[in-house]
This record gives sequence, structure tokens and C-alpha cells, in this order.
Amino acid sequence: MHMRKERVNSIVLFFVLATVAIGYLVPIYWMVTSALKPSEEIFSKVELFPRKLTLQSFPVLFRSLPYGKWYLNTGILTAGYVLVALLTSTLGGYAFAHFDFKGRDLLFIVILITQMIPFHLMLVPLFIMISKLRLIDTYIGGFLPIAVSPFGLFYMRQYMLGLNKDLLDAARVDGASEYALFAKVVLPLIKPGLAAMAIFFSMEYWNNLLWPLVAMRSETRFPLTVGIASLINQYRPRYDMVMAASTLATIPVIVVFLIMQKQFLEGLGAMGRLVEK
Amino acid sequence: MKSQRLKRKIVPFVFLAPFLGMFIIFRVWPIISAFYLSFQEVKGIGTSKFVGITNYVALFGDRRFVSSFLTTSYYTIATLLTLIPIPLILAVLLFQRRTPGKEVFRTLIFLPSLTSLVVVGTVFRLILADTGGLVNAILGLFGIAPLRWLLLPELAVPSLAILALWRWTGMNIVYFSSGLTTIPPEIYEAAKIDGAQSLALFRYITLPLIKPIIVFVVTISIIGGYQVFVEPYILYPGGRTPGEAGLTVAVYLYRTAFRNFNMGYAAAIGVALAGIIFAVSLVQFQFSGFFKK
Repeated sequence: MHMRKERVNSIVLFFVLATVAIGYLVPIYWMVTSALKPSEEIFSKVELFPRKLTLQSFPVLFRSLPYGKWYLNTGILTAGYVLVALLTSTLGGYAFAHFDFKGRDLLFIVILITQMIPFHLMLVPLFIMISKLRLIDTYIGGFLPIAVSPFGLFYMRQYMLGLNKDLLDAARVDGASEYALFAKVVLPLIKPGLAAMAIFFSMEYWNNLLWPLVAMRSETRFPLTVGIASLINQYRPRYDMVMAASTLATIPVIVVFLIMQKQFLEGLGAMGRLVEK
Repeated sequence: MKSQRLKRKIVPFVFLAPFLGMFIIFRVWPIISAFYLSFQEVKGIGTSKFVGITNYVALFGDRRFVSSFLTTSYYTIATLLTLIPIPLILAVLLFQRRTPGKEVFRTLIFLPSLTSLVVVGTVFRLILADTGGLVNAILGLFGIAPLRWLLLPELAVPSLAILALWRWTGMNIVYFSSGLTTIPPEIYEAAKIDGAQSLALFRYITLPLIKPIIVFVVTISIIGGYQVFVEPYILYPGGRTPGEAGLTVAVYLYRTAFRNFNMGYAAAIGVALAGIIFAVSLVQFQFSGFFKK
């Protein structure tokens, strides 16, 4: 009797969760099918399975817009952002985790508190700064001013606190310089942490519109986010093209996620680590 | 020997220098500069005039600012009311040992968290459309007349909240799941032997034990909610929001700085936003007993 009740329960649970999961999938499906519909049908018919499908909006993206360039710009800007944020966080995190210096704990707390300050506060001063430095519309201007992450520093510090101190001391006794020690012993040990942060930073840039919007002004310099925002901001947006642009921007991320699910979840959920301490 | 010691003393600062340099140039200085600018009237880049607290006084009389503050507050409250309980319940259901296919479901619900916020905004313009929109089509199945989601002022915050629910459920499930894995299963076994029902298990074991993670999600939801920019910026392109009902503080700041080129006033909005987030966080920490620890 008891067994049967449990089985019924799990069947009900299965259908509830399946419904919810499909519900969450629908907007993505909607985006893809809208990209495949002729533009005049997007707002006129609600069809779960559109009968008329066309690929016509995709080549237009590349012919009448610098869509390929947007892709490339996204890659360059994201790579720059991830590289600088990761490098500074890792080196700095190591200093906080494994050295004693005056004012260390106070400095660490001050840095962490600034994580709570909204980026919007810094938007105008940073914009004026890059204008004066003539960095508007340059790749450097598009990522460098935002590539400093107190959270990244915190995460890498926590990660490196977990390193075995005896192992590091043993290498020191063997006469390794501090820099060689970091490069040859520490770096290989923290690879999973680096991967998690690289994913975290990539997605951070992927969701950031505000900074690239003010820093990248000409169409050929846009990343995908600013490009798609510009398409929808036109007087009469071509929604089939907007959806095609959105689809092509989304699918690669989903594919990479499906391949590296474990690393993605660790990276995207990294903020949760703030709780453990 | 002395130089050797000096060298060793310098080591931590060599590691720290890149971060600290970036931090001072791109964080500390802009923060100070924002306060300075908020007391200025900026006419073009490079020429500005000290105007005292004029900008701050103006904020209180600025109907757009006050309404954007209220909109942002409603939005934040709406996300708290939906994005804490729903993902929490789903996380618990997905955690049950016997649920078949739970890995697949978790992955599917997580996919929205991978889409760029810009893309989410464009997709929801279609989904919430008057005609041809999915939400209205579904309402139609239940005999409900189509709603003008993107055109009625009173539906602006609900529209943004629906979007947020879709975008962030998977992410919050990840946070809650990581909290659930830290609960030792023996506690549940023991309680079950004592005859506790599922709801009692949830109420008296699960909730208290994952309270820290709930407090954490509430905190980031408040901080993120008050900063919301991309979603309303895309959902209401060209700033065409019905009766300014979709105007959030961040969008207003952007518009003030980069449409009206009123940089000093925009800086004051930024300082006010930081102050609001700081104040709300303090209240929340007080409530959740954060300071007791």
C-alpha cells in the first residue's frame, strides 16, 4: 500500500515538473520559430508549429548589417574582460590568501564592500574618463574600465586558502622563488577555480549592456548585445531579423553549456560561495 | 641579507599591484568623482560649475525620479515574492531522490539563465505582444480577453516581473540546490522514523537549515532588483514606456546622462541609487539577524 502511494506520488511529480520544464523552454522555442517565420506573420498568427518556415532573415543579417563583425567584437571584448579580470583577481587573491602584510584584513573588507556599490554610480565618471583618454569606440575602452572584480578577488582568495600550505613551504625550502612557486605550483592546482571564474566573467560581460552601450558608439564596433539593442531601438524594428540575431547569439552559449555543464554551474553559481564563509 | 628581507617584504605587493592599481583607477577614483560631479552642473565634458546641493534638492521634486524609484521598488518586491518561493519549491522537488528525469528538468529550467539579458528583452517583446503574443494566446485558451501588456502603465511592472521569473528561476534553483546538498540526509531519516510528514520536514528541517542561502538570495535580489536596466531598456525601446511606468532608476540615469547630457544630475541619481541600495540592505540585514553573527 505504502509503495503504491509513493509510486503515484513520483508519477504526479514527474508530470508537474515536465510541464514546468516545457514552460521554461517555450520562450526559447518561440525565439527560434519567430526567426524562421516570414516577418509579416510574426504578429498576425499564433502558431505553435508555423507552417511557413523560411531562412530568409538570416542572410540579411550578414548582408545589410555587420553581424559577423558584432560576433567578432563580442569575442574580443569578452576575451579581454575575462583575461584582465581573471589575472588581477588571481594574483591579488593569492596575496590575500598566503601573505601577511600590514592592513591586509581592512583592505580586503574595503574592497569587498565596494562590490555592493552599483556600477551606475561609476558610469558617468568612467565615461568622462574614457572620453578624455580617447578610448571611446576602442576595444580597450570597451572592457578595461570594468574589468576589476572584488567578487573575483574574493572567490580566488577562498579557493587558494584551500591550498596545502605544507606543500608550498616544501617548495620554498627547495629554493623556489615566490614567483616560480606561484607559476609552477599554485597555478596548476587552481585550474578548476580559474575555469569557474572564466565562465563567471564571460557571462557577466554577456549580460552587460550598459557599459558597451556607452563605450562602443559606431555600428562596426558593437558587440552582439549593443547590436541587437540597436535593432530593436529602430523606429520599425524588423522582428524576424531581431529574432534571427538573438537566436544566432544564444545557440552557441547553450551548446557550450551542454558540453561543460559542471564547470558552468560551478562558475555561474560561484556567488553562492559568499554564504559558506 | 637586508636586501633579501626587503625583497621578501615586497612580494605580496607585487602580486597585489595589478588588482590594486585597477581598483584605484576604475573604482575608487570614479566613486569619489561621482560625489564631486553630483555637486556640479556639467556642460559638456571638461566644463562644470559648482552648484552645491541643487541636484539633490531637484531630485526630490523630480516626478520622473520619484516614479522611477517607486517602479524600481515595486519591481524588486515583485521579484522577491516570486523568485524566492517558486525556485525554492522547484529546488526541493528536483531534489527528491525518486523523481525520474530530474537532471533533464533542471537543465531545461536552467537554459534561460544562459540567454543574454538583451535577448530576453527582445523575446519578451514578442511573447507579451497584444496580438500574436504567446501570453495572450494562452489567456485566450481560458477565455480571458487579451491584455495590453506593453502598453498599459499598470502592467509594466508585472511584465518585467514575468520576464525576471523566466530568466532567473534556474539560477536561484542552483543556489537553493547547493544549500540542500549541505543538509545531512540522516536528519530526514530520523524525522521520518518519528513520523514527520513531508510538509513538516520542509518547515522544520529544510527551511531553517538553508536560511543562510535564502538570506543570500534575498540580498542579491534586492541589490540586483534596484539596479535593473537592460530588461526595461529593451522591453520599452526608445524609452517609449507607457506613462513612464516602465522607467527604472537606472534607465532614468542613463537617459539623463546620455540623452539629455546632464552629467551632474545623472551623477546625483547614481549616488541616490547607491544610497537606496545601502539603506534597503541595512534594513534587510537587520531583519534577517545578519548582525547577530
